[in-house]
Order: sequence, then structure tokens, then C-alpha cells
Amino acid sequence: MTLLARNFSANARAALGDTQLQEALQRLRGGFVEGRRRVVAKLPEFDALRDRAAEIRSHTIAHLDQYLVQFEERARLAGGQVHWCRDADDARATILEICQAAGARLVTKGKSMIGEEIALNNYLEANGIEPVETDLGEYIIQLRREMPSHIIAPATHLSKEQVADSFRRHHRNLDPARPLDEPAALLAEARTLLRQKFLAADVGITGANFLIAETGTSVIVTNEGNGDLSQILPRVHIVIASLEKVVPSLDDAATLLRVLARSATGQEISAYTTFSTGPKRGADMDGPDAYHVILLDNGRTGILAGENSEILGCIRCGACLNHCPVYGAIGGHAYGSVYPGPMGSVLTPALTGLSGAHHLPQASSLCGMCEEVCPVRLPLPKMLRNLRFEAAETGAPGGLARILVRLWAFAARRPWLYRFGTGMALAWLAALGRKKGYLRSLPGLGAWTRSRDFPAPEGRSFMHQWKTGRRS
Amino acid sequence: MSDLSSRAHILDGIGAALEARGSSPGERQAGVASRLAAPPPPIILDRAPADRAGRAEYFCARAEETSATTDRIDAFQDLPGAIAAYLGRRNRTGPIKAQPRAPFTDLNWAPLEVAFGPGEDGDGIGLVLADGAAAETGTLFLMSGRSAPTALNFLPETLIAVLPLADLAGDYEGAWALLRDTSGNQFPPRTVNWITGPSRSADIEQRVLMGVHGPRDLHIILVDGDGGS
Repeated sequence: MTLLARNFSANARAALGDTQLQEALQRLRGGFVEGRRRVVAKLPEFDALRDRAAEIRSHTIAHLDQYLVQFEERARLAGGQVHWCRDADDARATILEICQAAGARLVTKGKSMIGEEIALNNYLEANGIEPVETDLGEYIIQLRREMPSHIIAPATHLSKEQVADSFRRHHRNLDPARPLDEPAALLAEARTLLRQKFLAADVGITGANFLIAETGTSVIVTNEGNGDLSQILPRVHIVIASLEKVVPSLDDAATLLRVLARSATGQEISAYTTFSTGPKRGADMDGPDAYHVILLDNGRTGILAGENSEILGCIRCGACLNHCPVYGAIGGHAYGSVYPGPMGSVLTPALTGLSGAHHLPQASSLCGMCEEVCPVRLPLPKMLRNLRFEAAETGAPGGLARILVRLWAFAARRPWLYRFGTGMALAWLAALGRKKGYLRSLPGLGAWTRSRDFPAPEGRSFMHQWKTGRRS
Repeated sequence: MSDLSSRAHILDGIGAALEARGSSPGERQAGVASRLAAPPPPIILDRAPADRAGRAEYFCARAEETSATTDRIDAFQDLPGAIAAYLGRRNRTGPIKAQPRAPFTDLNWAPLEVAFGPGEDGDGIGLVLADGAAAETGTLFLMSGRSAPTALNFLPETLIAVLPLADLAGDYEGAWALLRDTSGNQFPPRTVNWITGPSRSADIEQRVLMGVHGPRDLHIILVDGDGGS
């Protein structure tokens, strides 16, 4: 997994100054956040469903080996092939081998975060196979050679002008003067071009929203139908899924589907939910001749053994991104990881180690909104705090932050010193801001006051007022 | 490579992690068995009415919210007329590609032009029979099979889906039960498609547009009576 998290501070600063990105982030709030609020208000059972969804996920994770073995057995009975892969190298090599055995030149792909995690496209290209992303957003960022900026809306950071620009640059055989001002024109162009890819593809690769142990089934959820055309038309269908995607039964999947789209896009359900079990049956009119499932570990067993194992319950709806004030201010790319936002700040260090990613757990105000909206009730703030403890123990972050916290801790353990210190500071700040009632800038805290004023204190601390009897 | 040793390695890793949390393999087996024997009772949504007429109405309202259109007819014989009227309203002409199955193969389609077979690029209008549906979100359930090609659900620009009212359940669990009954030991088929509205995307500037890769239009015709003549 490519990790650029160590540049987080610089990335965040650049994002805050990017007006085009800020407009895109504003649209995200209007679309997904407002949509979720609307559909949740229409479903009085939503919280009961979240409780059940949380129970399903934690039960499955606590019995993960059992359900994976059951899934494997049922998928094989249905004629599927299951491949266990320890890491990205293992998964990529397995996928390449399947593609090469099928004589594949062209691969169409449904949207898959695992595909991003193992950087599959670059690998296939390097080995002479053309991978084509078919989800509209993924297709756009594939043309632009970017990472997704959101786990369910990968191109949400872009404007329609940027998309039009990319289409003109890459679709060279079309009339350069064609109008591409409207999203509808962009969509029509992508539909026509990608339809030809679907029809010509040798292998289709999709992710999996869920794997169902009861039936050996993989499930994908899309709005476009691209995942379906990717998996129906080619001769071979490969599903790439990480270990924790498994759930016990079809009914459990139904419960999770009830909270997934509502939390993600604010739809009651996505347009297409597809349950695939094995390759085409003898008399079927269409479908792939072969069905492979890649079960990818890539650090998940390590997460299971650690103190943030709850993150394995995540169903990748993106609600924590949509509602996070930090994500909302800087967007997905600033995190520098395939998985941005609160769930990404927990998952990324767990997958790659904390050393290059120690900024991520700090990229949160711990306001708790992520836990508040999580459809499976993951304790994201608690997990972020765990990672902060871990970072502190291993010496990151270092330098000034550590010294300041030590100073604060020294004073906080000595009430007389603390009261003396706060009293001095208050008197000083009150004197500075006496005229206006607020402070335009604070010495040493210029970054903080650059975008907001600091209210001037009254001059006396609460403790002082309490002692002197002013208690009303 | 992903061989037996990877499998053992991963399962050992999971086993060790869960063991460290205090759960033995025996306990985990028992935990799975007991949940299978007595799954938690489903959370019943207070949504679609239980009576057939109310449920049909609820289904249509939910489907229309997703930009599908709906129609009601009394019997399969009325299908050609209802489809001709729909296409007329839309100014659509051209051949229809239908699943090669009853009731489609039994009807007199003239003057409509109907061909039977798998979905192909260039199919303008597709005609399919839903095997079940859930009123809770206006969702159709379609199974793949010898006379039900999955590509036909996605390739046409316009998809017309026929739903006998007897196959309309209130919720997803009810629709699954119906599909299991219909298919017996063939369940699950290679593909089950849940379809709710036409194909859509909001990937460009969060604006919802129809017909990205699948149908731009989804028209659902509910057949009252018991699905027959």
C-alpha cells in the first residue's frame, strides 16, 4: 500500500488553500450527509438495525476462522475456487496467474478498495495486461493516475471541468471540439467507451461488500451496474476480498444492507445488489466459466491480535468520512493513504505500522461524530486514542509536543502551580484583549489565530471566583 | 503463492489471535452452531402493509422514489397492450429482447417485435420476469438460469420487469424465502440480482444521473390476480 501519510501536515495545509477542493467538499456534505439524515428519519428501526449489525460483525470476527472455512467449503461446492493470500505480493501473483492461464489481455474491474490496497492496476500493467476501472469515479481517477479521495466516491474531489479535461486528454480519437460542459455528456461518453471494454474483456475483477458463509456467495453493491457487467460478460470472474468481509447468512447480509446504503449515500438501498455463487451452471444462458475468490490477509490477522480489532467490523460505508470535520476540511488525499478519514486513520497504521502513519490518529478532534454515525457502532475515537498512546510510547510524535505535554502534566499534578500559572496567563490575556473583548493574534499561536479570534478572558479563573464567593 | 501453507498460516494466525482473547476452537465451533440453530429473530420493519393491495401500493411508491415507473395489469394477457402503451408514451420503438420463458413465450405480441435470447450489446428494450420482490424498498429479485440471462438485466437502455403480485414479499427475508421455495435444491443460483431503480451515478459533482452502464429506464409492471389467466 502506498503511504504518503508522513506528509500529512503539508498535505493538509495545501488542501485548506485549494478553493476547488473546498467546493467539492461542500457538495459532499450537502449530498451524503443530508441524504443520510433524510433516510434515517424515515426508518424508526434504524438504531435497532445498527445494534443488530454491530452484533453480526462482532460475532463474525470472534468466530472468523469458522466462518471463513465454511465460506470456502460452500464456494467450492458451487464450483468456485478459493485462494488464501497472506499479503499483497501473494494476492497479485495469484491474480496474475489466473489471468495468464485465461490468456487475458484486457481486464475490467468493479470498484474495489482491496484492489487499491494491493495496487493491482500497476502490477497488471507491468505484466502486459490492461486493467480498466469501470466505476465512473474510479475510471476518472485511473485516467488521472490518482488515488481515490473517498472510499465510496473516489473522484469526489474533482470538478466536472477537471473530468472533461481528463476525457479530452485521454479519449484522443473523439472530436476535440465536442461539448463536455455537462455531467450528462461526460457520462454518455464514458458509457459508450466502457461498454466496448466490458464486451471485449477476458477477465472481470470485482471486490466484495460481503462474503456469505452459509452459501459460499460473494456480494457486490453498486449504483451503476458496472460491477455486474464486469462479472457477467468475461469468461473468468475474480473476487478480491479481505478476510473480514465474511458474514454468517443471507439474512445477516440483509440486515447489513439495510444500514449500508443509508449510511453511505443516503439511499434506502443501492440500485444493484448482486449475490454471486460459483461460475455459471450447466444450462445457464450466460455468466463466467470460472469463479475465483481471493481471500486476502495483508495484516488482518495482526489487527485481530491487537487492541483495535474492532476495526475489522467496518463495512466501508464512508459515513465517518462524510461526517468528520477533519475530512470535511482537508479531503481524502491529504491523509496520504488508500483509506482516509476516521476509519482510515485506524486501519492504515494497523496495516502498515505506526511509524510512517503516526500523524493519522492525531488527525481527529475526537469529537465523536464518527462513532455517532457508524452503522456498526465502531468505537473509532477509542481506537484513535489507543493509537495515540501507542505513538507516545514509541516516541512519536517527538520534540516540542512531548515537552509541552510534560510541562502541562508537571503543573497539573501541583494544583498551586497550576492555579498560579492559569491565573497569570488569564490576567495577561485579559490585559491584552481589554479593549475589544477578543484577541486578533496570540504570541506563539499565530497558526491558531490566523483563521479565528480568541475571546479575551474576564481576567479571573473559575477557581478564583468560587473561592471569593461569587457563585451565581 | 496461495497454496495450502498460506491457508494454514492464515487460519493459525486467526486461531492464535482468538485464543489469546480467551476463546478456544471448541467454543468457537459451539458459538457458530448455536447461532445457526437459533439465529437472532429478525428485526421486523413497520413499513409495508401486510395485505396484498397495500403492499403493492407501498412497493410502487418506493420504486418510484428511485425513478422507476410502475403500472398495474390484471393478467399476463394484458402485457403486450400495457408494454405497447408504455413505449408509445416514451416514443420508443424497436425490437424487444425477452427472456425465453413463460409467460413471455406464450403471448401473442403482434404488432410488437419480440425476440427471445440472452442480452446483447445494442438491445434497446429488455423484458424480464422478476422471481420475487421486497416492498420495503421497491426492490426486484431476479435469479439467473436456463431461461434467465443475467446480462439482459443490464445491457438494454430500457428494462421492463414483470412482477406477479403473488411474488411480492414485504421484506428482504420474505423475498429470500420465496426464492428458496421456487428453486429448491438449486438455491442459490449463480446470480441473484436485487434491482432498485435504474442505473445511476453521482460520481461527477454529486449530481445524480441515470443510465451509467445499465438501463436508463426501469419500468415495472405488476400483475394482479394469481399471476395467471
